Amino acid sequence: MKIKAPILAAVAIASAIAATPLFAHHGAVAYDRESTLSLDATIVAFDWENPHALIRFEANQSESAAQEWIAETAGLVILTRAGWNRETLEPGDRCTVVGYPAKNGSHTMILQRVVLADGRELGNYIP
Amino acid sequence: MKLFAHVLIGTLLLKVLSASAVSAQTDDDRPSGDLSGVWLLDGGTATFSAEPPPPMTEWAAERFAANRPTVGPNAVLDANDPTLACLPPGVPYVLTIPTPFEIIHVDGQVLQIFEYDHSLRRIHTDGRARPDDLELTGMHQWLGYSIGRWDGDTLVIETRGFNDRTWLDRSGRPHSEELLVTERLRRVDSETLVDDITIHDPKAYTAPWRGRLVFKLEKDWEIFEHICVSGDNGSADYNQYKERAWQQ
Repeated sequence: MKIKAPILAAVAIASAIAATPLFAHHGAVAYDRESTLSLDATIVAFDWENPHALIRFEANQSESAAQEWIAETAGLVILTRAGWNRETLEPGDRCTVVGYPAKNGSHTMILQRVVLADGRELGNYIP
Repeated sequence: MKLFAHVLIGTLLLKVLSASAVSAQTDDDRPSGDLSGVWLLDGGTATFSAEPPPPMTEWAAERFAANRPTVGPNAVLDANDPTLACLPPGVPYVLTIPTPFEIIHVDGQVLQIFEYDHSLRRIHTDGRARPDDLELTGMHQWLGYSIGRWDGDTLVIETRGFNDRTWLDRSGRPHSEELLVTERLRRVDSETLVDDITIHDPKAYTAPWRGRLVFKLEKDWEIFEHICVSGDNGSADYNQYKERAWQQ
């Protein structure tokens, strides 16, 4: 299934101070903490697993065809306290995914938050 | 009459049970401090101190050079932080992990139950002396052996008996088996816990190293399971993801 997702925003924000506290036990050195990327996403899969859940989604960052992205999140206990569960995201759901992109440009990111279709925001840490 | 007897027996039973419950919560050595609750780190996770560490000894400098942390100026992707292999964090490292811990007072002990790895730190407040064979027995290696005493409403904790396989912090600062961690733990208001920490480790540092951690009360939280499973670094999908995101 090929899904076209419109661009919501792809904004690099020059800010040395991250608004969202992050914790990945492996650290976040692979990610560009100076930039925040916000993508209009269509969920492909939500891998609810430790040590980090993964959100697979399609989005276009530019005018080109949609590409698959993966956002890494925290561990399950942290997500649970932030209001997530394994059914929070289902294939085909539309939402906005906001995160710090990988420095290597590989269409991966560490998640800051998602904004669901009903307007609810879920963070990647403890609210 | 029969009903009255039942009520009387029931009342007496309740009194006995309630006295027993109070007794379980009473600590003669706890004059005014009440540290109980579920607490979450309020602050950064890279280290326990805003102060730079004192100069390291040659022994520690060699170890520090070999440590590859996940955070801080020496952060790398192929890190060798012992917790990545699910080795238990020591003290104060365990206090900088941003999952909560619960403090429970029982007779003669203050229990610190960490969500991370569901580990238990037992702080003895019954006046016992430090075992003099601590270094010989190997019974306490990762979180050490903790003895506490009350100084007003402050719990003063001395912890020794560590192995040297843990780091002091996520930034890769090492310590030796001579490590003594002194903490002054107090509830500065109903929702704030402050832990003033001093590291004494003459084999590793040329002077004491002081730091402070602050924790906030999470009133409605309970401790969940957060188990680090050795060798389980994620599914094949996760490892493919890492390869994709981390490739330089």
